[in-house]
Amino acid sequence: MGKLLEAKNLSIALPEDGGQVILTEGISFDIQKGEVYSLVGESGCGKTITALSLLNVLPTANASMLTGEVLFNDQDLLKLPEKDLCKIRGKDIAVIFQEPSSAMNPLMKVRAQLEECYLLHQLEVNHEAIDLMLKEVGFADPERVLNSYPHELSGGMLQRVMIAMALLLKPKLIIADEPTTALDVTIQAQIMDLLDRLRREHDVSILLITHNLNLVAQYSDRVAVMYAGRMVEEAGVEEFFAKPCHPYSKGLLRALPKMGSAVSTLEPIQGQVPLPKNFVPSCRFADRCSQVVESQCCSAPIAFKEVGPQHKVACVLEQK
Amino acid sequence: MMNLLEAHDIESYFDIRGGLFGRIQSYVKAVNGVSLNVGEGEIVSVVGESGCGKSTLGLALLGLQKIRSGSLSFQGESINVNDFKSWQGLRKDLQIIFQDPYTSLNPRLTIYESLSEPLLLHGICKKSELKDKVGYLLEQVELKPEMMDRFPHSFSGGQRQRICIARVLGIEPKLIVCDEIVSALDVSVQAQILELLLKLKESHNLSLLFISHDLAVVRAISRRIYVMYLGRVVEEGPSEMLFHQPKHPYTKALLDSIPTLDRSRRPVLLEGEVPSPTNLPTGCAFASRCKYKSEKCGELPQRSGLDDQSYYCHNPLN
Repeated sequence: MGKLLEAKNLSIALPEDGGQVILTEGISFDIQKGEVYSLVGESGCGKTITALSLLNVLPTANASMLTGEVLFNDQDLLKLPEKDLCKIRGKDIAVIFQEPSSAMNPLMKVRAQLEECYLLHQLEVNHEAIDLMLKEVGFADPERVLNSYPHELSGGMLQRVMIAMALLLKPKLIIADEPTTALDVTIQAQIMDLLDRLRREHDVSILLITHNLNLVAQYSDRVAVMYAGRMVEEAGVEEFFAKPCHPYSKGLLRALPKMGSAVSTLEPIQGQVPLPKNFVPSCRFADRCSQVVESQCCSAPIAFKEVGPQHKVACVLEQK
Repeated sequence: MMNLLEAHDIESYFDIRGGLFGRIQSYVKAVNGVSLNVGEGEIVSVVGESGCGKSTLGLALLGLQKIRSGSLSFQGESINVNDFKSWQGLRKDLQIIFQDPYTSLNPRLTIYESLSEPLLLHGICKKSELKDKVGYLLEQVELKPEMMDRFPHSFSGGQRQRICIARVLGIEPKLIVCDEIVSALDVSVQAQILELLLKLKESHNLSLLFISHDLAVVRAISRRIYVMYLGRVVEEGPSEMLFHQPKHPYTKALLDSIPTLDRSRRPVLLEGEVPSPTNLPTGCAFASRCKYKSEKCGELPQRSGLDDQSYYCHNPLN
């Protein structure tokens, strides 16, 4: 093992009405070789934008303000010129996007889109490898898939094509943004199993972005919970599920419908996630937290501190 | 408990047209002989993978999708399924909430306008009382009445789904079909909406037909479940029994493929090809993926089992 990628103090802001809206701040984490690192949180917490910022492909790249460092192969990806970044995107670091139907070009056949992976990196197209990879992701008849347009394939099939595309050039890191959210449980199991196998056989690292805690428990090594643009807890998976520390993490776990329990033992987290323009410098979960201590939680920013081996939490209750 | 809605052998097909004159060449057998009932004040769930016909079934039960054959009765009276007029009289009693709260609210109408439309249409209240009624409905779904002048874009997914619930609640239906209403939401919001739904069900004496692909959600909310596979019900029964002692191999496979927090229990994969819905096998449709298949599976299995838990399988599990 060793560090493959390290993000230091990532912050993203968008300009608005003369000022700026901060979307995420102070996000730091590292991904080891061959590790599955999960980022969890509700929609709007900044997990997708954090992942996209690693490759500097933010939707409004020019308008957004991105600060921090992303160290990969001893270079800071955020300082790299666009030309050099293009050599890394898709080759060393690949992305599986959330919605396969909108991530693929509807006017190009699957074959052309897969071949493009090679062409963009000035490599010779390896038809055998394409066939093999499609078989690997579970297509019995790759030829038929290659000759199809995206609209001729189902969501699950497209998602598998996306995965094949991401894996084609044997990347070192795969950023999987909600890879199975749109899929049924049976196909979800197939895809996660495939990713897990690749990780074991090819030593690929995976940054898994999801809101499904069950998937995290099954497939990842470490997990980070994000809330309203900040990391609130980071821990090894076993430690996290045995001893979640942050009240938000605990709440998420309680809100999960459980297979074993009968009718309704759900405990929702009351209240709503704040909007970025309403972010406060102190704890942003305070107004939804049942254990809030006004004097400490609502005055100053809460430090993200270690409370155990490889276990960090941003909560005053745990940092005594 | 009286049956509110009873459906017998419902078939609903989609035409596949082609050729020079656009003649019907074959059918997608989306719903292929489903019988189902919903009791008064009961929450019944239909689960299955995408493409199994569960949403089509939900629409067909409301007369929103053409029924090819089969019979339906509501509150003991049979419905003439192909007569538009007979459905019209039932619209007030039978309602639906859709999956995507982003597309099911008109972006150009304020919440007040969206919520008052059905109230006027069904003559629930006078124009002068509309404001109060809409405010009351928003309170019922735990939103603030002063939000009624805002447009849908200023609400989050969970809030929009609450608005959709309020809209349906206004006309006091007897049965609500909930088609994947929480699958677009985050877990914490999901739990809020499910809790709200259970509360409203008690206070308004509603019956719910809950359509979902998420077994954990279904387990949390309903007492009776139908499992569908490629247009047919393969197993039905009380959720307790279905989850602990599934009889049909497909139900078991669905349960086994769900990831859980327990790391010692890995999801089990389902192998084999899914048959095309245009060309279904004559026998059991699950046979191509089934571990327990035998020669008998070439024939369509009959309903077997006890009264409350029944299944359609030649080689049921113990």
